Amino acid sequence: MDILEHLPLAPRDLLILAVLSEGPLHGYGLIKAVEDRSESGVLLDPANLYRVLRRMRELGWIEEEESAEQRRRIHRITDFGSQLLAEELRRLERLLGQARPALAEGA
Amino acid sequence: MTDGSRRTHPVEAAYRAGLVLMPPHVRRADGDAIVSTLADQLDAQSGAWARWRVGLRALRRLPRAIAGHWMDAWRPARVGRSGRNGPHGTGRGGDGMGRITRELAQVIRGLAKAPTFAVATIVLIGLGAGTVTTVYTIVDDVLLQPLPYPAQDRLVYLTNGSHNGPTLDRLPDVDAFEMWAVTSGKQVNLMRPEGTPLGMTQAEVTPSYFTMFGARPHLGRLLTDADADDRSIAVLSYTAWRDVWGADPDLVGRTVLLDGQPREIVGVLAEDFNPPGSVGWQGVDLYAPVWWSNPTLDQPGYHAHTVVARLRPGATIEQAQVEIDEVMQAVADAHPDYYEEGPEEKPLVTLQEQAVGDVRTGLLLLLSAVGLLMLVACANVAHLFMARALGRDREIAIRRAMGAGTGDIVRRLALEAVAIGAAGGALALGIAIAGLAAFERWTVQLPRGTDISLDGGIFAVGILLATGTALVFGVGPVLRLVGRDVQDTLRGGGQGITGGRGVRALRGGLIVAEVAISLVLVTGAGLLMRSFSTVTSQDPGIDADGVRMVVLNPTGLDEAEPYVTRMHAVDRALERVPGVQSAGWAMAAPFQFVGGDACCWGNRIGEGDDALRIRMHTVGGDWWETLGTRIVAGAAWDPDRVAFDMADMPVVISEELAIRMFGSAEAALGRVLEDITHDPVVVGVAEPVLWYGLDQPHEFAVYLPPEALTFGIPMATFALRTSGALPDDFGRLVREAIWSVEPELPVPSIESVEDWIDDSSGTRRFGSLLFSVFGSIALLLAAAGLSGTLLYSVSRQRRELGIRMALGAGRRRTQAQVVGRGMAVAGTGVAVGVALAWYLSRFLEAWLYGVSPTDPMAIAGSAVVLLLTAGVACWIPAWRASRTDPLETLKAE
Repeated sequence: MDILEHLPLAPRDLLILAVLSEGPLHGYGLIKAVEDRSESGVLLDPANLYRVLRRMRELGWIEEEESAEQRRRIHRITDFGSQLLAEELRRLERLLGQARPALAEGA
Repeated sequence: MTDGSRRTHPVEAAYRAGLVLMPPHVRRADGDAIVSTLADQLDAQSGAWARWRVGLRALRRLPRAIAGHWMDAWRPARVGRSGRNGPHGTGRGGDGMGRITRELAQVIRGLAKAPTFAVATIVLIGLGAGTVTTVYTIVDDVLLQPLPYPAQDRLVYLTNGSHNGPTLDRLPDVDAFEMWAVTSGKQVNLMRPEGTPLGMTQAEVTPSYFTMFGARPHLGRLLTDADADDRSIAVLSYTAWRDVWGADPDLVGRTVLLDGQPREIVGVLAEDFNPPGSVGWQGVDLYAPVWWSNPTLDQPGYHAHTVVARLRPGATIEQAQVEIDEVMQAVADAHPDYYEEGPEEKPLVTLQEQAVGDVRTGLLLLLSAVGLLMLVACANVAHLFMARALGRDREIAIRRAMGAGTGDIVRRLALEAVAIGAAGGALALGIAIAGLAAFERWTVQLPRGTDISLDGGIFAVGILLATGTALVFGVGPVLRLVGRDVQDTLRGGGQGITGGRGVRALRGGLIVAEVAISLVLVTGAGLLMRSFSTVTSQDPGIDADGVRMVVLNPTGLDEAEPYVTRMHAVDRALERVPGVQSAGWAMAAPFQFVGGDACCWGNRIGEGDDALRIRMHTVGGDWWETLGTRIVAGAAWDPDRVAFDMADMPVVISEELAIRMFGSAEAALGRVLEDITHDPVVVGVAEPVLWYGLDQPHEFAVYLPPEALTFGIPMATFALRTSGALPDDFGRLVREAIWSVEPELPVPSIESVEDWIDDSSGTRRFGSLLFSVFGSIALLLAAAGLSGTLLYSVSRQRRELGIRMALGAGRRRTQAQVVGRGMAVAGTGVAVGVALAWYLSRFLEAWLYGVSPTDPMAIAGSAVVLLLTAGVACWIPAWRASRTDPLETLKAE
């Protein structure tokens, strides 16, 4: 699968990948981490979260595993997801690098 | 949260309940995880207040999440831009089949939301394609398929009735014939040892008859040339073997008694033997070799055999015709007394043409009527699809604003058309199968109405036509939107969508076509109904009320005297049956043999071009009183005073013949008919009787006492005038009366003359009924099309109408405007239709009686019917338009 076809990522998707790249999480852990990371800019509710996760899983960005604890599912980023995240971050940094001088001039 | 005794928060319960609405497969896979995540989230909050806040927020977002899950279920995961366009972005991913299935599911859901549209289009397509398939299959099978015989394209038929011995004797001289066959039929009575006599149909055939029509034996053998003249053998039909002899495998070699004569059964035909029903007699039970040495066969006046021949390869029908003309000339030369008027004309036609002959016009008529109806149905399908497509301008604009490409939209609409077409096709298939089954069950006799199977080709054409219409009119109008600014459509508020001059012209054109076609069908219905009512209002010349008929086939009475004496005895026996007022008998009765190629005994009076063709009827007993035919001058003969071979044989002639020959009925009395054997004397003149059918021309008739016959024939029909309620066992009483004098005669059921008269106009009744039904349906469809189109354009122009009315346009004026618009279109349709009907109705001519195909009354009448219907159809939208509340409309927009 060509990574470039998946870019750019939506902010919510980027945040979820970024959080998962630091370690697997269960559903609520993910909601909490994304909320904290975005300073409550991205609020997820459970039904919507699982919708996003289902799509990401179908695209091969993440995978899930059953945890020891009952009814708890652990979500984990895949290698492809990590590459995708890295690529998106590089793209954004390049973009920022190109935009910053303008910002500096304007300021 | 790991604590099993944790109390479930109310929000959590509500959330779980709400998940029921999710796509089932998602709920099964993720439902528990979702709820437990919410539980974790709630447990993590400090304090009841925070739990409620977070919980209610999740709950509030639940509907959108559920909708999103459904959207995902129909549309697979996408790549890129995922968050930006929301879940409604352009879908391109997913495997092909899955996508089509999902889109189809979506289309079906969409159609379920517009059930009227879906049902109407499916029914229109189903009915249209179904009836066209049924009728075309029948027509194709009967008219167009080759006959199922070897070298069928070389089979020819010698027309002009049956042929005499001298003609048959010369058939071997015809070089252009590779093979020829003759057949003749008669009724015979099988004497069964165990009980009542059974009437059977026996055909005399040459062995070539079997060869020509591809016969094979089921048991024993067929006939060979060595069997010629052998009157002691017979071959059974499969049906007779099965039904009469119970498929007895040992029957071959046994002898049966037919008309008192023993015949050995030498074979049974295979079940698939199916000679053309149009050649010779139908339903033949047994076949016997031709009795060539029958002395009667030498008489030129004895016409009994039908001739079919197979042309030599390379020979043309014209060559054969030249030779046949020579044969007829030779026959005439050999019998100058009989052929005073010169040789007979015997045109050859292909067997195919002969087989379908009379039915052709009727079936083609039916096919064209059905075809026209199908066109009207297609026009309505077009209307419906166009209206739906146009009505979705906004929906489509919204979809496009949300990123759907033109391709997606077109594909969606096309899928819808195909789905409707498929459903209509299924319905059409059912209708066609049922229609053909009904046809096979109810058809009495079509020339080759056997083994009809559905015509796949025409079914495909019907469905493709309908689906194609749906595609063109469902997708076409939307293509207009391509490249148009989405914002424009949205802002336009749907107004101006009736616009697009092209679309409006198209809709108008459809209505014009529908009205015109309906007018043609209604005119046809009018013409046929007028014919039918003219026919049924004819005076048959008999008083049919209460007259019963018993048809007998007294066989073996070849001499005149025993035949007449014994039939008189039957007549007297029948007179004594309770309930019978009077009885009379004849060789054949009025309405017994209807149609142009009428039965029985003919003669000529006069010579050359002035010769009058007359029909001879022998009538005995109380004929006139029983039939209720008035004697307008003189009187009937006294039955007691006629005798065989008497001089001055008394006869009654028909009034028309009297006027034609002698100037008036009275002038005919006492005159001698010199051209007829025995030089009979006219003693009475009878009112005209339409002997061969209400729609047949009156034929000059001479009625003779049976004693004037010089031969006996195996036919006698008894008429019984009855009154009041008949005894319950009337049938048994009649049978016993006949058997009291003729114990060996089979007695079939008792029939009523009224039924015969009804039957004689049955085809007409069917034809006018058919056209009335088709005409009415077409009328209804056209009205619906007109009304629907106007209603639609009125509803699209509510804003304009509202403004106009706000500016002071009156109700009446608004109404008049809408009606005027509709009537202008309908009027054009009527004008086109009148021209079309004027031209097309000539094809009905063969079916018409007493009315011209361009009958101004019929055409003007149907124009009025169409305009009135159109008026009603316009009035509803006009009323709707005038109800427009200016304020309301403007506010709504």
